[in-house]
Amino acid sequence: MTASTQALAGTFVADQVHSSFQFTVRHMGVGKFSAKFDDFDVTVVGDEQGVRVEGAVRVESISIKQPDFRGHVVSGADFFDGSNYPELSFRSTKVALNDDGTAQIDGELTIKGITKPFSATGTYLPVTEDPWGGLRSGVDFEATVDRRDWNFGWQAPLPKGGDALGWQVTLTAHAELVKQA
Amino acid sequence: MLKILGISGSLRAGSHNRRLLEVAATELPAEVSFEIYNGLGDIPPYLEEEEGDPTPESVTALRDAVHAADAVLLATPEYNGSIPGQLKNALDWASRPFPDNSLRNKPVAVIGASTGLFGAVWAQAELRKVLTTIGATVVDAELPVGQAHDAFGDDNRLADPDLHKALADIVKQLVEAAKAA
Repeated sequence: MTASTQALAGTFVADQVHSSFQFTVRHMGVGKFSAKFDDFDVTVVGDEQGVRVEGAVRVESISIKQPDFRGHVVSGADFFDGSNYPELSFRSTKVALNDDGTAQIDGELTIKGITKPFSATGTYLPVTEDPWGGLRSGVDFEATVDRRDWNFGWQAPLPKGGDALGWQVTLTAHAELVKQA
Repeated sequence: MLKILGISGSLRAGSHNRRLLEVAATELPAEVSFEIYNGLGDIPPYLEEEEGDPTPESVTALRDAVHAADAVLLATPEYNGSIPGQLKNALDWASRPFPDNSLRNKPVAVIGASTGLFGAVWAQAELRKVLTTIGATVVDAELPVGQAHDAFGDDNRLADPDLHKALADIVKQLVEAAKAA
């Protein structure tokens, strides 16, 4: 039982201030490293055909400041290769907003020119009026991917065994969606 | 009074590894003195001493400092996955004459910081190997301080409490090894 059309009718975009798009990966076998992208566009359209989502984040906006580290992650061919592939993009093929507040989104995630099917699960909050008369909804999604599927091949064995950087990467998206006039 | 000598593998003013040594020093018991060796940049490239050749003064000073210490704490950055050449060069000098060098049976511990994610973990492993080969008594522990530019709190502690505790544990092991030697 879904309530897709009713829940998000119209065109919405993700608020640049109150939304975040983040990835988390295990490092050194024990710790976790996270970074987020500050420059993104997400548009959600709900109509009689259902809900569709399209979005992109810009690699250059990654929240890593230290120059050497940033240079490797942004430009390295074994990481984002940002000069050749400046954006990560997503488009949905199926969005289910369930009556109980849970949600599932299926679609295609394109990173470094490689497009793969992708699914995320999460929750959504129904549209409510904000203090300024606008209409907003909030969605939270999470998915785990294997970074090798998008050719993020960097790895090094730790001196005491194990991988330096996990292959599984958790992607989390929190979007505050603002209805467009 | 027990004396511990700190050696930073970085020559840079404002080095993260020197700062790491200073933080480590705060975990020493009151009855242990601590001094940071400052002569690394003065050590010439290693050249096997021949009879009658005067030993460079900087090398004698290093050997004397190691000899006078009950234990040595080394903090290394990582250059291209390994030990900085200057640190390896100084240890090559300190290892002579072999086997009766100043590091022989000397309790030593290795810690390290880098601005990347992995905290010089590979350099630390190689440094432990070098020190073991020289004949030092090496504490079997590592302390990878990654993203070193953000790793230090304002209170002369590591910002991550677990990492600070791990540093305190290594310092404690080194002091115990010095007492037992």
